[in-house]
Amino acid sequence: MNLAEQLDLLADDLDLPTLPEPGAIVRAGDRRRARNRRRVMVAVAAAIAAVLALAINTVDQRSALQPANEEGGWRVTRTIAVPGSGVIAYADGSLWVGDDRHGTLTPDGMAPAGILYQVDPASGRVLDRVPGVVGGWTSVGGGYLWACTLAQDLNVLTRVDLRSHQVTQLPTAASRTAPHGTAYVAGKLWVANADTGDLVAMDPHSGDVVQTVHVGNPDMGETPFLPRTDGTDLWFSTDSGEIWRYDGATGKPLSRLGVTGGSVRLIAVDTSRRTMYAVDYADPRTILEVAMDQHGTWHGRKLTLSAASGRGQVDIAAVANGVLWVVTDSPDELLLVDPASLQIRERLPLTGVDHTSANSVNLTSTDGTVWLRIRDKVLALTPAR
Amino acid sequence: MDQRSFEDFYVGTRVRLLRQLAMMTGDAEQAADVLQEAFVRAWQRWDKVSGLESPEGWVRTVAWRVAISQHRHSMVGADRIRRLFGSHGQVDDHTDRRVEAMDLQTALARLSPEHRRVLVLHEMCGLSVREVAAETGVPEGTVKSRLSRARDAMTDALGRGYPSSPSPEGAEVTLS
Repeated sequence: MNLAEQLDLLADDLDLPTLPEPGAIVRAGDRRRARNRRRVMVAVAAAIAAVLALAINTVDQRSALQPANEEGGWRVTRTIAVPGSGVIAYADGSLWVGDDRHGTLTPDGMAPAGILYQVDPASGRVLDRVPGVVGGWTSVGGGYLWACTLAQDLNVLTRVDLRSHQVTQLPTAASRTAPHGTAYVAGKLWVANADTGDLVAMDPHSGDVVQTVHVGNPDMGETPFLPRTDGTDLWFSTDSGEIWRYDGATGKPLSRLGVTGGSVRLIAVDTSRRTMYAVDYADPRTILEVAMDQHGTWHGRKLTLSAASGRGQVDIAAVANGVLWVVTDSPDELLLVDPASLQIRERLPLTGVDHTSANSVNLTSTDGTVWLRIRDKVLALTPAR
Repeated sequence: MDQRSFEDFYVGTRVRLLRQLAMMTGDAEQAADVLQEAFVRAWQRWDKVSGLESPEGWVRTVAWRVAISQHRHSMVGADRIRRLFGSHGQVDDHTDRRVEAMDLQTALARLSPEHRRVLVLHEMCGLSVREVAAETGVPEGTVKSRLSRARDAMTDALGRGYPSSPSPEGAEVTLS
């Protein structure tokens, strides 16, 4: 039996879901067309509403997220309602909260339909709403917020000027391929492209490509993904199970660290402790601690979040206020991890996670406060006194 | 738009495409979701899509792009593949075919999404290297390279004695 026949037999064994009847597909398409037409009219009304400085409710009620132990723990001190799901970032004194509209485009099909809300972290009031922004893997640098926009195969960088709020879609050097994360170092925006195996340096203001560094063979898994920076160097993970370090000014390779045999992902950077955290795709329940020293060293410290296979897999993570914050799915939880002991300090259940969104849960931090974007809410968490 | 022709197209291709997408993505539920989305988009543009040389290829490509977009946005995308294929390891049926299928599932799950896509398009969909190149948007040489590597990986995982289909035309058999 040849490979083709084996694949057919394997497909026979799969428990395939039933697709809808043809009429349902046609009706869904017709509804979408009608909705797009309505959006044109709604957009006009929304523009008028925006001029009136649309305010979004600040709600006092506690969310379902509650710390297990308030004494010495964290508590939700504010809930801000922001429509949809999407990214959250802190830049230029404001929170930037996205509604990615599930990656849909404007009725003319030319731009993302999403909206980026500028929120005052002190009052929770919406300061501005910036249309045309959809994306993930955000970074901040050069006076801009950067998002990788893969929606509808646009495959561009979205640049938001933090002062003028002007939105610009920038193609990367590799046409038709998606940007896979950015990092701003030494006056350059470094863009990873896991499809081509390239790191591309762009002038943040002109959008011109100033340098292209081919880091490896994508067919061998040598692909830069989600670059991070310690302010000087670029660090990124690869599908070959390694963490690589490049000079952020020159683009020259500095070190390679083999961590696992398969794909590995950098999930968080703690510059104060000179430490990174990574997850092995083969075991996404385990967090690996990696030192950001000259060579990038894995000391073998790791934290297994759940003993049960397939449960407690790391979704996103961030270091804020001296704590490693980890969001897991299956179950949906927010874990507070002590970086010193690498032990879980608190385990908070999350409810209402929208798993259909590409950005279902996101984290950022300001002084003393961690902001959690979950479904249509932004939760402010502060240490309990 | 000609609703009848779209419905005939949908009924005639949905199961085949679902099987192919399930093998490419490693996730039957996700395959159904993205395929449904692709069919909806096809109906919205049926005037144009129906006139293409391969409307089926268009739907398959759109579904794949939606899937890969979801995959790249998910930190645990690769693990979903393992969960789907891994779940079959719990069955009690230990016939030769089942064991072979488990080996094949494991080997498939270890391939990168792009390698798995090329392998399924060539082996399961019966597309030539040139057709695979056209559908995936990469040069024929890259298709050959990916096919060669995918099949080498399958052979490594399944054993040297594992019977396979003939090599793609002009493909290098060994890795450089």
